[in-house]
Amino acid sequence: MDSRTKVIMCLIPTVIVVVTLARFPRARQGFGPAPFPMELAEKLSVDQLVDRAGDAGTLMLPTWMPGGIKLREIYFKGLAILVYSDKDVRDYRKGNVTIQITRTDSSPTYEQLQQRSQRPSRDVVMVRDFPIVILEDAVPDSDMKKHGIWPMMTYFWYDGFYYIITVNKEETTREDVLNIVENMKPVGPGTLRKPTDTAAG
Amino acid sequence: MVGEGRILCSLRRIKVAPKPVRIVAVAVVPMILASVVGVERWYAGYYLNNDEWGVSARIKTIDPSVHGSMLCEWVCVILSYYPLNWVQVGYAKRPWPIGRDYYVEKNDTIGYDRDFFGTPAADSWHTYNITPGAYGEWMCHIDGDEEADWTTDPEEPVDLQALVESFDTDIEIDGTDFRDISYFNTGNDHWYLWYQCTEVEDDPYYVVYVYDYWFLAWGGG
Repeated sequence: MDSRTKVIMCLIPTVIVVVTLARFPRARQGFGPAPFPMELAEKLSVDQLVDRAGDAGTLMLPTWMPGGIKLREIYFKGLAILVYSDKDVRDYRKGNVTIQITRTDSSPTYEQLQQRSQRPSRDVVMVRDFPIVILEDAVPDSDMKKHGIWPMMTYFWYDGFYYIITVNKEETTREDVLNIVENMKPVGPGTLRKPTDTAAG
Repeated sequence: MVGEGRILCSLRRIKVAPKPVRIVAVAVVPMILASVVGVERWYAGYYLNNDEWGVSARIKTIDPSVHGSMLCEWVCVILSYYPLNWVQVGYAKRPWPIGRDYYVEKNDTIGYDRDFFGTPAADSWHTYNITPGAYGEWMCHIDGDEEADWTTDPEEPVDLQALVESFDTDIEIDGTDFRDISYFNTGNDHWYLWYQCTEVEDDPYYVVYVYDYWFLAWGGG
């Protein structure tokens, strides 16, 4: 058997295994739902988002972000997804800070949140007058794993709305996240807006 | 030829390596390559696009050839779109000899869990639902039998989905039928039919809208 044949004979089974596994990576990782439908969602200004929120409660948005991070896009399809980035990106999976907002009837207290799902990487802290949950070691989803993103997730309820803030903890610190939440305020002149938005939206 | 020489040299090194190392090399390298290659998926069905609690649907079991790939039909509670966290129940058609299975699955900030069991008969109808319990608790039922009980973190839903998920466009999904798609009202513990929906249909799959709580789907192959 010459060297070329040996190489081919060794590569054939490897190629078969690679092709087979490439067809079933999700079978190993499990099945998954569809991502948020960005292409079907409305793209709103801050003021249009406030209009959509209606009288469900008081919508709070960030007035501060670390570094050169700016609001890049607001998607609305039942829930709102806000994309903040230091680059001109619109995909919520590629921003530095992503905020999901939905309406809610819930309003758990600090004590209730502390009693739930106690584990070392889960922390409940008070920011101003409301409790927030910080998950410093949230398990990344398969897309995050693929792109080397290690998420830190924060969620809280405030006056009719439920907020989930996700950052890559290798870029954004816990202190940054606490500052973002600390500086979330009812929409006004200080609210961070898309570069294309006017103050009136 | 220089390249071939290097490959042969590497193969010789593998050959002289201890057996466990060889086994790991043969098993792990393709897996790493496969994870880099990734896989596309195609969806057809409905999003609710609202933050109701719990989801239910009657789904007809289809039995197409999956051409060595996979097909799933399911209902799902989305706990977060980023990272993607969810609780899901449905059935899967996997390649021979595995066949059709019911399954339950969740992925949250704590971790991933999944279980396969049973075999739905072709053309049979089954009711799949995910019902909220105490804070963060989700119970998965198939035809009224509880198959999983998880407490998730995060705990609150942001959306609901009822979808067909195909891993290969060669798979025909004709005959797909989702009916009585419902959400759970925690105020009175009753199920109500969906009152709105957003259709998703990734080419070559198509959704036939019947009502907000009923769709058919076809295409592929």
